[in-house]
Amino acid sequence: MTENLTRIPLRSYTDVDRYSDEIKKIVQGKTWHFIGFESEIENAGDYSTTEIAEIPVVVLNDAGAIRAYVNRCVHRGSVLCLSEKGNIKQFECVYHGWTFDLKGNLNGVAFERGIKGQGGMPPDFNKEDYKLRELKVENFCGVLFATFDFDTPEIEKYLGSEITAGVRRVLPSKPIVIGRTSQLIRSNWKIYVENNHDSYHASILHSFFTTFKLNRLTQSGGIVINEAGGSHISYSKRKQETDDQVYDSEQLRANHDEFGLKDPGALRFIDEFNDQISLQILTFFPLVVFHQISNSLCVRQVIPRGIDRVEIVWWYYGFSDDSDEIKNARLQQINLVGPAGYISMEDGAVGEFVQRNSSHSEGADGLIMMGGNGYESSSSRVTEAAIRGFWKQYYEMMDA
Amino acid sequence: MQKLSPEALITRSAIALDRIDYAGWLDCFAEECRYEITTFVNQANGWPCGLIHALNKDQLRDRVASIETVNVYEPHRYRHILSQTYETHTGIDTIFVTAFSVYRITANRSTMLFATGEYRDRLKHEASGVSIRERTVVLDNEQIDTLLAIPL
Repeated sequence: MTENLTRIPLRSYTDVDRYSDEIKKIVQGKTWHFIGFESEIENAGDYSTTEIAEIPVVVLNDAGAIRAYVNRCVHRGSVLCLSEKGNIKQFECVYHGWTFDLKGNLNGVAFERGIKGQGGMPPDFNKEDYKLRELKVENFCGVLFATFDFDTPEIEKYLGSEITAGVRRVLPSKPIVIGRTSQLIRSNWKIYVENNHDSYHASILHSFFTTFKLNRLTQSGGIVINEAGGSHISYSKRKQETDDQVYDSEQLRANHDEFGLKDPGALRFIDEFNDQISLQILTFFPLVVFHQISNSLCVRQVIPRGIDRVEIVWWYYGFSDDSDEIKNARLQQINLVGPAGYISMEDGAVGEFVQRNSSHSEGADGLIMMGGNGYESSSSRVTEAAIRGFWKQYYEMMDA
Repeated sequence: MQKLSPEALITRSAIALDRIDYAGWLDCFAEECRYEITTFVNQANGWPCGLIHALNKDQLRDRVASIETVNVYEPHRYRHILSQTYETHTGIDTIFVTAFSVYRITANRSTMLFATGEYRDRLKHEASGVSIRERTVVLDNEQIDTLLAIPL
């Protein structure tokens, strides 16, 4: 690999040919993608539809086995399942009525033999030769992932042990969906993903964090980057409210005279994982982010939409045994996260600010020099090592 | 507290936001109030977590203070277009339903349709006037363009 990880040409965000390559080599390469929650397709025949990048996908419960297919009829390429959720005995294309069993085998072609000896498919046409394009699926603690390449290593090996442990940490039992929002950001998808690898910006851009001391770079924490480079965890610890009254409203006002919250209920943190970590941003290369922000737990599904648009689907989750106290905390912390969140709304705007300067930018680079030129884990978050890690894995896959 | 009809109160709350008159917007709410922004998809699935969930007027004041002094975004404003309001009766309660379109106006950009949906309002009636004690903003669109800083 010859690319310099400390300088990223801004044209990387505007090159249409590169985008097609990314879909082919990264999205459809040896990578895992979020496709939904097991709890949303509990019964035999239940399906849900989603997208990986811009490729329609249907996820199905086939008598307990979870399967995923490109949501595309083999005949003319029409979308097979139109609803977001449903229950089916077989797939049936609305266009010409071709049907497929739940294992993806073509089992019905309307008027296959024609009518009264006229028309119909050629005699050498065999339905057995046609199948829906299947993806390999892994059910990881109740969250469903798929890959286009059946040789992709299993998730634990793909992420490495440390990042895998970070995912397990926020999935101690089977998650259930408790809400969803979506955000369209007018930037290339990589700018959004890089932003999640960027522990340097969080306490600066998101001034709400700093104002309320939710995340300061002086807090204990660190970043962990996997060997492949493109998946990482950034975390910080906070004392529980009961241990330290720093988060009560009086002291918040004292800490920031010009502005204090009148009702700091949304800032209350319950240490549900018993490790005092109140913030964990975990990137799962290339298009998934798990966040724990206090008690808000979320899978952010990143869906590139062309060269200069990216959609973020925020899947908030909890657990069936959540206490009322935890349920209320998750609900209150909606005010912090998502497209309207006090501490995340700026991410919707800042990517666009970079994108605007990327179109006619020959010779202009983004500088990623903070913390050296490598992509090693560290106890300091004053580093851009995790962004370099993203580009390391990115270039390796693109150059392959 | 407003000496207004329910319809006029609801219109005032929208025009106050359009004029970036947050004090005027807050005036439309009772001291004990709830305010929520969610989507039809969340409601259809029984998912409680939407976009904004305020449990009292102080949390609305906090939203205003945060977007005025802390959060970073390009200056913009809204234009609400409201339907007439109709009343539905639940047996215990009266809910005032008003459909809306909200356009967003940002400098150097064309005005864009930002959101459509409906307000479902429960009002507090007192001798001194009427105020909103519970507003659920239900969006048709699940996707938010860029960000949602100013309430709807």
